[in-house]
Amino acid sequence: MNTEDFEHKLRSHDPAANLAGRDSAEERAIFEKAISGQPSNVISISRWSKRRKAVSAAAAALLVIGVGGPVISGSVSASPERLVFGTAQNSGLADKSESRLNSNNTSMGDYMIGGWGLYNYELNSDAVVNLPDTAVAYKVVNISNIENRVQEIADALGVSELSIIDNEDGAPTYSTKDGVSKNFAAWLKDGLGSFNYYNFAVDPWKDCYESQTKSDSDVTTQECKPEAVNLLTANEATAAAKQLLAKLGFETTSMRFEANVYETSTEVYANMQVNGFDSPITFYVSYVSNGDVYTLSGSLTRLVEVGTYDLIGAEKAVSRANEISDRTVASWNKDLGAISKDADSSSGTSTSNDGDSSEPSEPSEEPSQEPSEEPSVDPVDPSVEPRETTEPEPIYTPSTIKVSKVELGYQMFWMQDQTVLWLPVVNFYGFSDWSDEVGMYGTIAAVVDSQIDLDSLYSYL
Amino acid sequence: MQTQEFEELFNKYSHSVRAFIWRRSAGLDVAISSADDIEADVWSIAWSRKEAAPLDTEMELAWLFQISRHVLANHIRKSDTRRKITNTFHPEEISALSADSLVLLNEEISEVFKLLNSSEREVMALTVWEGFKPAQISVVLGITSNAVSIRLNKARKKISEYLERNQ
Repeated sequence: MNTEDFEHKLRSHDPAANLAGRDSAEERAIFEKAISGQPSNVISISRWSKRRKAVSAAAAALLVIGVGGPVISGSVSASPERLVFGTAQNSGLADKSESRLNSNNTSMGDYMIGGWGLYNYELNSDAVVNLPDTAVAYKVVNISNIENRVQEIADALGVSELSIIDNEDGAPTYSTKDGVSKNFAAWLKDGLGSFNYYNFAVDPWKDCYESQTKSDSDVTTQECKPEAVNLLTANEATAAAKQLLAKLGFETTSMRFEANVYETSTEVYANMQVNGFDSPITFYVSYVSNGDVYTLSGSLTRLVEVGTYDLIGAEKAVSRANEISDRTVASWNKDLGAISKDADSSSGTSTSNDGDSSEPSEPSEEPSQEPSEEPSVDPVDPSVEPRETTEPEPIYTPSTIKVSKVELGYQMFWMQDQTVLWLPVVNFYGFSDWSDEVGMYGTIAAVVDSQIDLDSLYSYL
Repeated sequence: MQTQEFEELFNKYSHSVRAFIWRRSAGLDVAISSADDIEADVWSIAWSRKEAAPLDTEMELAWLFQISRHVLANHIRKSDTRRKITNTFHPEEISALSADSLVLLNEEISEVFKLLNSSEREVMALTVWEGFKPAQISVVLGITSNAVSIRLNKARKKISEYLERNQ
């Protein structure tokens, strides 16, 4: 295979080749919004609903939604409730129809795949196993009087004229009247309570962003370098963040702080520690020049104990992970096979502006070491080797991970009753066939079979 | 540009803009739902700057892609769930799907893409997937056509060497 062949292969694997057409009403809505003259950095209330879904689904997967309150020891029964898993889709927080490839990413795939890929696991004989027999599970719920707390936080941040939007599904409270200079939003869905503040006035990239809207061809991103003046050090930012969070009414004594100094800002991450684990109680604060608060986000939820569960061992964890991996791979291959067939049926024209202006590229006028390298996009180019229309399946074969360590962790799960639980999981560490360094390569629910509805766990795929 | 002309522009390129954002947002791990919001912002900005739209029809889409890259970068910087990269994120870092993302589509492509840096990946993607010429790519990336050709040649050289090694 030469580079031309490779480019044809790349073209045939265009991730947007299978991009479905959009509803004409949605298309029209985007157009009408565009010509309404609304500033781009003012986000309409109607759009928050969709944004919330995306953020919530992603947050559930990435464990970035936090709980801004105490951990509550509930009355834990001797026999904790059997865990019946739901999906983000069931809870109305994600739409599997958005993408075939991403359909898995809204559910089980998120923590199995973790953004890295699917694996088959093999437990090393000398693997270090650090798994207790039992672990406490928690329910994630909003803090009390969340709307009042939202108002207090907004007041403390100087957000004026905060409008309380009373959406039935817990959509965000959002300040529209001051949307240009300050953004503030809060999500009120139980178990997902969180807030986000963004100060456009001190955005270090503001001028770059504005300059591009002028569309001056001579304004390039390279020329636009925000100037950082008197950035806080990591220690200064940590101290400032502690002070700010305390001022907003959050308990900081059990939080772990981590700060990093970047090119234009200093960023502080704070996490509430629960039994030695990073909890979903998370805050981020970023400071720009002269210590101005640029962004702040955090959680408005708390943890309530729901029971102590028995945990599986290392070998069982590996077999369970492989079972789910096998099912996911089968699902992916089914989807990817369909995508491949769709791409094939599009007769090799999956490039060139998606059919808008797919005239063949002209030879480059630029100096070129390979003058004939400009790719032809002519769908009927006879010199082009036909793409494989009978590509054998399965398309995706998972790599093998040699597991050298398994240990307890925690992760949030959607449950069938629409609640969010923070449950014990087994984390896998080991070696891949492409790296000599130990890495974390996956996570699986750790509760024993008898205390889990296995069908719901597997249907989480 | 009048409303009708802008609507024609929208109808002509809406899917292309959407596909452009789709390819990049997947590589950047942007929530898919957010891609629609990003697209809406792109068209809002395009409308507000419609007088600056290029007269050359061949450059219209490049101009829209240029806006898209900036909006995408701005979205990433502001994204609540991506704080780790927000304040250092720069439009230059936007590229088509990462090698890790591409492994879902094809392992060999993924392996080859691992050889390329983000700017080379983006030039390659704009060439192959968007079907752009260097002059158009130069508008999207805000660099010269010559720089585009150099990046493209570097990318192709790396790919060629890899393919020779692995024949």
